[in-house]
Amino acid sequence: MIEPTQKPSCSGAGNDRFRRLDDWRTRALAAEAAIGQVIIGQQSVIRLILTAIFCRGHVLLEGNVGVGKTTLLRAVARAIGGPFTRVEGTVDMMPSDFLYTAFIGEDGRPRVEPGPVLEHGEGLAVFFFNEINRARPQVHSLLLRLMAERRVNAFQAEHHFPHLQVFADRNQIERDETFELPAAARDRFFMEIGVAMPEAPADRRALAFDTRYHDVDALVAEVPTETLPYRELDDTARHIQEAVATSEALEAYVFALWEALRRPEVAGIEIEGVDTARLIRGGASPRGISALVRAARATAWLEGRDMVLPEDVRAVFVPVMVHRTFLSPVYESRRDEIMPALIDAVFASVPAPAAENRS
Amino acid sequence: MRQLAGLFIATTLLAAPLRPAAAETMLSLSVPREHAYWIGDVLTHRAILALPEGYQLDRSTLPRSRSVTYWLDLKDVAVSPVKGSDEQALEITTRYQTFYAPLEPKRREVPAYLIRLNGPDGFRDLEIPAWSFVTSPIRPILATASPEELRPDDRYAPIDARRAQIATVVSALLGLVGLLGLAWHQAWPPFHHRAARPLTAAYRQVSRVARSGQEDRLRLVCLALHRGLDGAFKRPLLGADLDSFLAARSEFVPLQAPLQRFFAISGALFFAAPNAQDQAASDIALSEAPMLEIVDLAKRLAAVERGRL
Repeated sequence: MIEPTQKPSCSGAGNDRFRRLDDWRTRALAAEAAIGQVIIGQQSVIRLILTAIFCRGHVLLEGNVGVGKTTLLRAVARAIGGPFTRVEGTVDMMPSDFLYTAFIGEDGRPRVEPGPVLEHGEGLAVFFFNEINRARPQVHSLLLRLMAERRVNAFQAEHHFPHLQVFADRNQIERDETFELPAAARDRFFMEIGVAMPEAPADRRALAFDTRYHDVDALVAEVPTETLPYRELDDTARHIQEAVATSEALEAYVFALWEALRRPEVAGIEIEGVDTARLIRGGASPRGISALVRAARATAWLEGRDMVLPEDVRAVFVPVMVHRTFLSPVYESRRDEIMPALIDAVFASVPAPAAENRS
Repeated sequence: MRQLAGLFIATTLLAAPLRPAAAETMLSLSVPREHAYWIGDVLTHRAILALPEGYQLDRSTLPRSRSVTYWLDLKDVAVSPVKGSDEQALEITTRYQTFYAPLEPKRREVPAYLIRLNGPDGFRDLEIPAWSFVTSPIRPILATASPEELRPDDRYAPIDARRAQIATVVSALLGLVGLLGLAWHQAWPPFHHRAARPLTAAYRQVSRVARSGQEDRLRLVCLALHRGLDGAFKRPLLGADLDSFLAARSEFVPLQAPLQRFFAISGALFFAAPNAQDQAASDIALSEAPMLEIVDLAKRLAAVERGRL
């Protein structure tokens, strides 16, 4: 009789690689718990960020001012360890500000030193771009290359950052003097995670009255450092992708979701006040679907499974796919209203497992 | 217009002794209609004669055209072979004209006549039988009719239909109740707004597939139950949704453990690594336990859905 896999079957396989993955999973869950102690009421966001870390994907956080995005990213960066640099997006920022720091030296002469990206050398682990939408498109362009290739040119040389992970955040409150990220840059972000205020009243009271949460530096310092050593993350991420299986049934499920998102009118999806045949302008790219499958594998691994289930796909679908889906201009202004309805309808239209999955 | 009356008469030949074969002469008569004749009408009578082998009609024995009686003339007599007949058959047509002037409708008889057949064994005599018709007067009927002349009505015989009426009403009511029950069961109008029973339908399919000898019936059974659960949840139900499903449909809470087990089995069957699926399939071949579990779960889900558990 078959026994469903509740524990990862890789445990006890006798293979060193699988044992290391189990060890890594223990550490990941410990880091998740530690960050969850510091950033309360954001368990799902923390899980998604961990998923992105184990997929080596860049993350864009989006949310209101003061909900703890920066604190969360600092806590995550501390858990990863390694060199960390942070820049604040401003309207007058130029790409060179990333790479060079210009100042007047003690001898009174102008000096140019490596900027935020270069100052830590090739070991840079976390690049945190705060308020990314305040920076100009030229800066976005540089960031695009940094994210896609993990390398930049400066001082007449190419600099490579093999362990780099970019975290960015933006707030959607102000529209003045902000620049929307181009589609290509958004597609480079592995996930776009919405950060909302904690729902539980107890958590919100604690954030307001508990002095522990008032000193952010002390709070972040509570997170054990380097629980997820950044130099080993690339290998671990690769091993996770190799160890977690996707079946034909899951491939069919993901493909059906993809089709429904690309052509909602064919899937019979109807949204009130929306012509679904004209709704989708672009996006849902193969790169996006590839990211979806990678994220689903990492989610399954974090859940202790060696196979991806449809719920793993669903858990990461919104953060991975929504920011890669571009609507027709007439609907873009109603994006916040339409996208949840569309995603809900897409999942309602695709059963799992489906009969045609049988080969 | 003729009234055709087919009459087959097996006649025994009058003079000749019977022989084992060809002993009978088949005579078929076509007699004119019986009534509605007036003075001067012509009546045509036909006799079709199937002759025994070797026999021939002696035409001298045919009646002559003549005045048969004071009121009846035989106008002419004709004999012709019957077309399309395998045997030797003759049609004797006699045309009579009536001159009878009745004062009231009256039946008159046309007399019979004899014919002779000559054959190898001698002759045989055959009678063309007499026939009759009713002729009517051509003057107005003078006698006045009175109601007294009518035959009295039959006695009134009441039929007790009460039992039949009650039986009809009861049958109609039973039929109506049955029809309503069927409409409700099948969710036909006006019961089409009744809550659907996806799990009951799924159980039917599950039990049908489980009984079949299909190789991959465990997968088909799982799929059928998945679709039933999707219908009950009104959207695809994944394993992770089980808690919210049970929160929304608390009547299924007693089945939480078997439901979890079902999703675990289904997950291993459909979503495990391909080599693990093969392993699972071979394991299943050795044991019917998962199939029985799922059929039992489907049965219990259907029972809960119908409020019977």
